[in-house]
Amino acid sequence: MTLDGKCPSGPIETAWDTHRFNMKLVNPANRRKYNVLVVGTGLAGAACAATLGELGFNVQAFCYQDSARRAHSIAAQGGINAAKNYQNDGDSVHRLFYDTVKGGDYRSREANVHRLAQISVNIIDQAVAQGVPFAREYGGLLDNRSFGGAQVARTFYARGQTGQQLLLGAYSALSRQVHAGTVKLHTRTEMLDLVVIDGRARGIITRNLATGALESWIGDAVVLATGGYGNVFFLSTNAMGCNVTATYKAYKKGALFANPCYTQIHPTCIPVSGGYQSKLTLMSESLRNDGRVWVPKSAADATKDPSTLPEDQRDYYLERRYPSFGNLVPRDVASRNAKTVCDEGRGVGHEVDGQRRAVYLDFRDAIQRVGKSTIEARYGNLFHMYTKITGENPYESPMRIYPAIHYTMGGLWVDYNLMSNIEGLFVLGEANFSDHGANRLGASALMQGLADGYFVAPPTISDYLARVGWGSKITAEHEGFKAALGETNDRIQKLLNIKGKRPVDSFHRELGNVMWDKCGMSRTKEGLEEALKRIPEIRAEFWENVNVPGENKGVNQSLERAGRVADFLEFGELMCLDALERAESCGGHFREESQTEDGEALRDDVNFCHTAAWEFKGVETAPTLHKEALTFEHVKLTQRSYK
Amino acid sequence: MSWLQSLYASTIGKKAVMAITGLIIFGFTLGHMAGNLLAFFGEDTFNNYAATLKGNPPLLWGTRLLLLTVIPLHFLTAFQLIKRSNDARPATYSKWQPQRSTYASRTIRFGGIYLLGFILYHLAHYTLFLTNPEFGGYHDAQGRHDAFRMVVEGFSNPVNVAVYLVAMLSLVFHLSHGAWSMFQSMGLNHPKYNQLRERAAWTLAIVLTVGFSSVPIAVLTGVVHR
Amino acid sequence: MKITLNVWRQSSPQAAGAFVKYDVDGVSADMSMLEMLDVLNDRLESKGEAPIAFDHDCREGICGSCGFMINGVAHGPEKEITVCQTHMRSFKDGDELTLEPWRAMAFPVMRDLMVDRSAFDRIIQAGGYVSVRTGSAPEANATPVMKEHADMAFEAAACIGCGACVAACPNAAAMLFTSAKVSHLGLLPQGAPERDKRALDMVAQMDKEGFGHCTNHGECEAVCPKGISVNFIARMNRDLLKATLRSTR
Ligand SMILES: Cc1cc2nc3c(=O)[nH]c(=O)nc-3n(C[C@H](O)[C@H](O)[C@H](O)COP(=O)(O)OP(=O)(O)OC[C@H]3O[C@@H](n4cnc5c(N)ncnc54)[C@H](O)[C@@H]3O)c2cc1C
Ligand code: HEM
Ligand code: SF4
Ligand code: FES
Repeated sequence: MTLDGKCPSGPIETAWDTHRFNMKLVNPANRRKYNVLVVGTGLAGAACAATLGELGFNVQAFCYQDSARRAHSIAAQGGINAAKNYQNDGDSVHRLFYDTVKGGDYRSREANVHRLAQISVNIIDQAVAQGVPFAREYGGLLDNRSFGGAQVARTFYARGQTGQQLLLGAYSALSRQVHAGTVKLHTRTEMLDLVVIDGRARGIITRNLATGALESWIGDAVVLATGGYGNVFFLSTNAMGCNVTATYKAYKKGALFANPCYTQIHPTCIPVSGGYQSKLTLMSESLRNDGRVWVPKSAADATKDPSTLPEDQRDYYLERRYPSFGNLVPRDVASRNAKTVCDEGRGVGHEVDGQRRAVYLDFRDAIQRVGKSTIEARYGNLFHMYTKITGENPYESPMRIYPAIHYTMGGLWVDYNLMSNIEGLFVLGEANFSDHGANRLGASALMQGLADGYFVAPPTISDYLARVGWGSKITAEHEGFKAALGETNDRIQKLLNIKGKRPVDSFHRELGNVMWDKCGMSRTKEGLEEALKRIPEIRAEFWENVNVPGENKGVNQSLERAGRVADFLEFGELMCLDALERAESCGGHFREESQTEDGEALRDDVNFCHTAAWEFKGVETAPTLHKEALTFEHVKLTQRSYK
Repeated sequence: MSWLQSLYASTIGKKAVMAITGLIIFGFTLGHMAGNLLAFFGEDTFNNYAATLKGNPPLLWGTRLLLLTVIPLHFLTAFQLIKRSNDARPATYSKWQPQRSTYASRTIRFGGIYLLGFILYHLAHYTLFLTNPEFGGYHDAQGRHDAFRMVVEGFSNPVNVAVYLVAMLSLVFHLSHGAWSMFQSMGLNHPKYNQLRERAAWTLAIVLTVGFSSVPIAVLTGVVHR
Repeated sequence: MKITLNVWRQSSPQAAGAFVKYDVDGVSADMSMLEMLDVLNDRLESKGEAPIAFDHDCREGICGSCGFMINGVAHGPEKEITVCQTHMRSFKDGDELTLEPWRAMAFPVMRDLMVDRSAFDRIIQAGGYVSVRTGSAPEANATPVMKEHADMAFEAAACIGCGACVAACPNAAAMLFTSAKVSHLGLLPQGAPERDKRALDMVAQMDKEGFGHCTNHGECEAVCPKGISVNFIARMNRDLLKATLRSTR
């Protein structure tokens, strides 16, 4: 198989326009004859379903939550980038493009990223027209801030709820189409399989989470916008229901999974407080503008009251190691260093599973410098949230933070049209792999989800539909559907019949620990090989000893979770394999064998300047690796340095 | 459906009806109370006031007609809303702890029902003379209907006074919530003036109650006598 | 800590429900309410018993999935917080907590603490949007918005659609939820052209779903995890009355 990204040739600045002109169109009168299935109603899915509905296509949209408005896009706090240059500080489409490619550590496709930067400006227009209440200045114009260390202020935001407000915008557009009758919404409906017939994606199998009913849906195209798979780590900033099931099932049906080991780790999350912890909460990185990160110099002081530790007993390790960036080093560097000091036994806070995994983020000096009220004005809501969760007061004692899994850059492989290698299967948003390379810049995932959903996928899907035409005679009685439905049902029955001794979550936790230890912030060949041995063992025990009470009738949340965990237990292995294969440090991934003399990440462009796309060959059989070479014509490859 | 019908069909429309009718009754009761207070100025002033009212049929019948539409409308709408509210929560909580609502707001229905009973009794008592047919025959020296005597005799009965005072208590609660709630229902709301609105509601409710209660109490305690 | 729970258990929408008592020991003050239920559910699952069903997803107070009554208060005792963010340090060792689902005709119980809130979606579908097609938007800064209005619109837009307002209202009214959306869009110039129609359509749908009316008790505001103000209810009343008077329908 050769991977063709189908990037248009010619100058990158006009590539997307030219490409769009060359696309085929569907006659307006014929559009309603096409059925498009959109799985996911986050930013990417809702935007796509609404736009296709507006065009007149017949859309069925699915989500597992009780309402489309609850997709995890809702949780994004910080903001969304756009190359509007409203601040007149030298931003441009080219600069956003450049920053994003560089930020991705040169592991993304230039053409895709350029298109993203171009479209970014339309997203803001669209969102504002929908009534998204972005922050404004007194003159009534939109406000911007600089985010994640960017040199320009190009981030649009709505207090700490940018994701929610953008999602409510997309959800309202979707609701409008539901009212118009072009979109049918199926909430509390989980996709459990993809149906591929004659090489084309022709439908999906779903389970109704309220009744347990399994259903077949037939479509002329299938869109997956099902978000990221960070929950493979069990603890992450993802929502409890975030899963890999939809994309993993597509992978099992032949779609290639690209760069699964690329995950992003966010340095400022509230640390784990006990074995019962179910998820991690992120706090805005802006805290690092004023907070100083430290741990005690000696492991013996880890349990002491931090305010009693004198200055010379504290190790401000980021300031020490990176004098020019200090506490503002990029996410990956800050995260990795926190892990290092905790591994040295100098972590603080609660002891969980024999280790203290937290570092201090101290505002004492900032409060002395600018006063408590200024700090309160800047971070009041974050401090409040911290207090609610931990019961501690950060004005008096330092916050404790630790990195957590936050975003997954890997996903199903797609070409420039966002179509996977399976004809008619489109993948959008966090579920695909396309734009962020090995590391995502802050405020760029919202941008990508909406670019994909509003502006990229609708024309490329129309083009595809125009080419394949309508009127195929496939029904739910087709063998392809019957087989998929049967397999799905068998798997559910199998889960229900085990009736072993362990609850579902205990397996998920166990897998998560392995993934975090061996395939998290820093990885080694030995560790990954160990994980590759361990995961199949956990999986085997799961299939023998899990207890999924009840039956497949009505609401059965244990069954929902069991299905997702079963997929994570296979997917985790793929991630570790990909991580093992990529013997370089890049983006947020530190491969210990690949570092500079002073212990910084060392990228290997000679051997790894490619996208790794994996082809499924069987659960117990190793997948096949396909490589898509990456070429850089517009951005020069350089090694990142923050010293 | 005409726009009026569809307005009335909506819960917000019904609440607007509650508010407007409530406001009208409120306005009337204020005037009514002011009139009652004339009892403190003695028989002549009071009977003169009563006769002036009687001698002005357009005013008298205008007011009566208005009240005859507005009170039943207020009551009928209240009844429909209460039913709707009960339907909206068929299963109640085993435990429910109020957080913000007041005793007044939670009892507004019961106060209302008492007030309805009271209004009927009040009419039977002083307007239709059904309870005390002799009231109709009282005349003062100038041949005017002796409303003053009727009031004094009526309120010499402690049971009667009790019924009135309980009604006035219901009214204070009904209005302490109703009088600001009605602004809210009609959309008259501004963060800057809302506190004022609540204070005014309480003040007026208390003025009304004190005013209305003062006459029966004064009669019973002998401050006002013939 | 040891906590005693009285949990509403109901196996299906049609089934009759009842309270069941559970003693949960080993509860840590740092656990969230839902983590405490996870612990209990893990124990139930290990024994092959059906775990307590409740809606939840983000567990950071933003998706609006979670919510039930804790001792008769929607989202529990802490102000401006959802149950997923309520931590066990709000309670003491030995406390007895009654957990009950939202109760309203328009929110039928699906199972245990889980209810069907799709009525909210239908209210939004009736008009909670600005009719702007993808691609037809004007330049974002072409229409300045008075900051005061933008800020107020934001406050209304902060609603997470959890349904606590309905649950807490003695009339099971959805006025706070509906008014938040009507006001959010009504306050912005982008939403102005459809302001009348939106108010009429959304209120009609709200009534059709069987929610109660507003007595202005203020219970909704008191339990709303996002602190949405009842001032928006007055605003919606005004919008609806104005729309009725001036629209041609
Ligand atoms: C805490 C947090 C903060 C963030 N902050 C920012 C930020 O400030 N700026 C930024 O740019 N990005 C941020 N991100 C990243 C960004 O929010 C996400 O990457 C993005 O919103 C993903 O959107 P999506 O549409 O791809 O997926 P999602 O919003 O996750 O939507 C997934 C949809 O798929 C559905 N679904 C999933 N699986 C199935 C299935 N099997 N069957 C049926 N339906 C299914 C779900 O119901 C849901 O509707 C943040 C992420 C997190 C977790
Ligand atoms: C006929 C007897 C009465 C009945 C049955 C009655 C009933 C009610 C009820 C049930 C309500 C609350 C409606 C809701 O749930 O929101 C109410 C509100 C109100 N009532 Fe009455 N009431 C009566 C008499 C009065 C009187 C005598 C007055 C004035 C002096 C009055 C003034 C008001 C006002 C101002 C409101 C507030 C309306 C609003 O919230 O918008 N009512 N009434
Ligand atoms: S108004 Fe408040 S309580 Fe009601 S749904 Fe919205 S967030 Fe929840
Ligand atoms: S689970 Fe999302 S708000 Fe509580």
